[in-house]
Amino acid sequence: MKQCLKRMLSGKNWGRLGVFKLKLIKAIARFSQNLGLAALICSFSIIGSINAAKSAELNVRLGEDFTTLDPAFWQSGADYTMINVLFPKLIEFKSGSDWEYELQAAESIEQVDELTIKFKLKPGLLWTGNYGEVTTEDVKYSYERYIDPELNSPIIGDWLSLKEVEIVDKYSGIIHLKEPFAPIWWSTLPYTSGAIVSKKATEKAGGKFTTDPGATAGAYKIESWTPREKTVLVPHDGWNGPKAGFDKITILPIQEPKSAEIAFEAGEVDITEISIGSVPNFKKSPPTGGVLDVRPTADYTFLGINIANEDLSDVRVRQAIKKAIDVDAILEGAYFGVPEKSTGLVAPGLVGYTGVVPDPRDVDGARALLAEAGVNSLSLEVDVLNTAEFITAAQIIQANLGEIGINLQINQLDSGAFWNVAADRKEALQLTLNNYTSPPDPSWSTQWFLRDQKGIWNWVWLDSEEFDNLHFAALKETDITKRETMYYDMQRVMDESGGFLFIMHPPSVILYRDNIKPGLYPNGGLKLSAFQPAK
Amino acid sequence: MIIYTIKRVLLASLIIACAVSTMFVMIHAVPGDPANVMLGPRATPEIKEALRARLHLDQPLSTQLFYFFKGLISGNFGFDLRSNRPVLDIVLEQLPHTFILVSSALIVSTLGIPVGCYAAIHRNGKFDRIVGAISVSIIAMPAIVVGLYLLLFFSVELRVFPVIGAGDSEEWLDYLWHLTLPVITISIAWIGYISRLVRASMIEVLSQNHVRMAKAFGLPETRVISRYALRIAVLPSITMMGVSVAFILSSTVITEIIFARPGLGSLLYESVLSRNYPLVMGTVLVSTIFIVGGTTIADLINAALDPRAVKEND
Repeated sequence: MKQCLKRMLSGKNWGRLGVFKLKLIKAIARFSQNLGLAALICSFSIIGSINAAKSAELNVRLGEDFTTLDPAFWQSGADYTMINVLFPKLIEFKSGSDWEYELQAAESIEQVDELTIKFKLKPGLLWTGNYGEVTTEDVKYSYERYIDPELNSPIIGDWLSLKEVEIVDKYSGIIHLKEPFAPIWWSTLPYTSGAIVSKKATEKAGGKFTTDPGATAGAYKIESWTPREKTVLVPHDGWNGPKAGFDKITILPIQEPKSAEIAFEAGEVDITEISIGSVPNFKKSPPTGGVLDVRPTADYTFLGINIANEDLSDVRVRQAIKKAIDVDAILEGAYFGVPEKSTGLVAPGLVGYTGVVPDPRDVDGARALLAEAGVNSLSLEVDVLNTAEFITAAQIIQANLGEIGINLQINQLDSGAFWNVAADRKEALQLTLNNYTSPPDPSWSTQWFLRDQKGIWNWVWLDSEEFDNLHFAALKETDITKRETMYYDMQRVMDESGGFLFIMHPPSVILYRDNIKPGLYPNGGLKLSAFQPAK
Repeated sequence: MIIYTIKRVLLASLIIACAVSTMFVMIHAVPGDPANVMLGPRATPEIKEALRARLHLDQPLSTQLFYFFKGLISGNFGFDLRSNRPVLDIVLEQLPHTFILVSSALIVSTLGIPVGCYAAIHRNGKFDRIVGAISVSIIAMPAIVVGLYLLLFFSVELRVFPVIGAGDSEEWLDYLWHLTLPVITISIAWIGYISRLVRASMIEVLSQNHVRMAKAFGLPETRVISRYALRIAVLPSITMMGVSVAFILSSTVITEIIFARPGLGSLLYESVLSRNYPLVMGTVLVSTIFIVGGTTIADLINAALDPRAVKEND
């Protein structure tokens, strides 16, 4: 059989007919080859024309799909991004590196006194779905619903000081506060809680909604949503702000950062957040047309040392632990040297940022403090999330503490178990390596360490009347200089307690194509309404 | 056969009930508070307490289990803690993607049957040795490694396959295009495994008396293999493929995450991490039905091919 086939292919013993057949086969082969080539060229042209047509389209990767669009119930980063692009606010944070706001739905806004804010809406901003114009009535409804006890909004704190919103006319209104509330300009009005929802549409939905708001009035509107697959946004005709930069934005929920990086390299997404671990590689060999943007967030990563734990009740032991730990080594080993060393609870760019670099590691000083406290050997446990970064950081801490005679056991927990660890173990909890997120106002960071938060979010069991008083005073203080001093003092109290070792403000690492001009909040959050094609 | 089928279906129902109950107890034993998941850190303790009461989380586990089965009987699987959408709707949205992925992977895995059969017939030949070496290598490779390398090679280097998503379900060609790499990721190890299994089984069957007798009677080799040897040699593989549904389903978790595909696997992963109990239970229930259904079907096919199985169970 094989020999027969060989003979056939070699053309031997074919005769005239054979030669003709051979020519025919060759001709067919040539034709197929040309056809294939033509098809290839054709497909490239088609792909090219598709790409050209896609010039006004943007593919954005988010780490997960949104789950609720109601500003009174938002939870995840995806919810935050979607709410910001779909609903207008009186004022909105600018895209850039400083936390500054600009007017959005408001034509003007002014703080008349500590308890009164006057605003006037821009006329002509329309809701989708024939719900008419955005009016003061919508603003009143949107903000007052937070303090309605029946709504049970988990983020009632943003508007707790609200007394009422007075309607002056269709476009003008006055926000009346019960007491001064400084964060209103930082983490309420320009943040998610400042989003305006349609009164008619929300009431029609029963007073709250999840994934179908009924009406939106942002720069873009939802054209289609396939849960956990993609969301397509298109410009909203009734928007009266700056023109939307793209004809279509496709939002793709990709959970795994590595897959997102591969999708970027394959050209399937135009912007994605990447893991810190990938930064060195991307810096060394950046993908074609890729731009890397690293910016610090207001979030904070710290080692919490539980003051209420029996083994850690002596402040000298806690200070010894702080002195013994090499924060620079953690930043280098676990975070590839990308983030800056933290100077305290408050992140750069926020009110109360001290900028004072903490003392370097002092092993001898740590040993001396332990000796002074009469501690010869100590075994402790640290609870950490089971991510590579946290585990590496914990291992470095373990090695550091080993040098001063402290034996450290690392407990790796998944997120569900980790965030319940204080409730489970209470005062028995010893060390925790934590990362807390924060909106751009320091009050959102200090509130977790009040005395009534012990065992809830205050895992250090910080018990300071001075701290509590300063926190509440700072909430009401509208003079920025005075407020700043208060946050300096609060950070001093935290430092003196020996319960906190601040490591870094985790950076947000964004990778985007050079043919787009991304709209990014100072913490790297996506401001989709500000995205524009690069000129 | 009818009685056997009824028995198998009843047994399957019992297994599903036991598996779901065990899972219910297990996920409630793991630390983590769903009220925190649903309401976030900024909710007041009163609001969290009210939610716990609404979800019966403040009641004993047995009572919670009772409410769960009561809900199931009335077709109420509960609501997603985050989006408040009905769990059944969410699970049914995701099910077709996983079903297609698993079914396609199973079908592709059957490539192992002819490969194993050919290797057995040409035992110790070049083909057998090459297939042996490749099979052992690919069996040992975890899906995550296979998936990432497939993506890097076919999607980033060659750009012939897409990286993410399931494609447009209304355009079957696009859907198939998106399905290719995930299916290869899952099935490649199974092709190797099944080929080894069929090869071993085939070698054993080929040495049995009835096969040797058929050959001695001068029946053509192809007929001997297809009619008398393969039919018996393939039985362990069919049983194994029934069991493999469970393994393939667990592989879908990592595959769906790598390829950012919608489906039950990635849904389960996300809901377990966020302690979204109703969604975990809904997904587990459907997955269990899927797995137990797969093994039951495999048993019934086995019984149809080999009537001794029915008699042994009588």
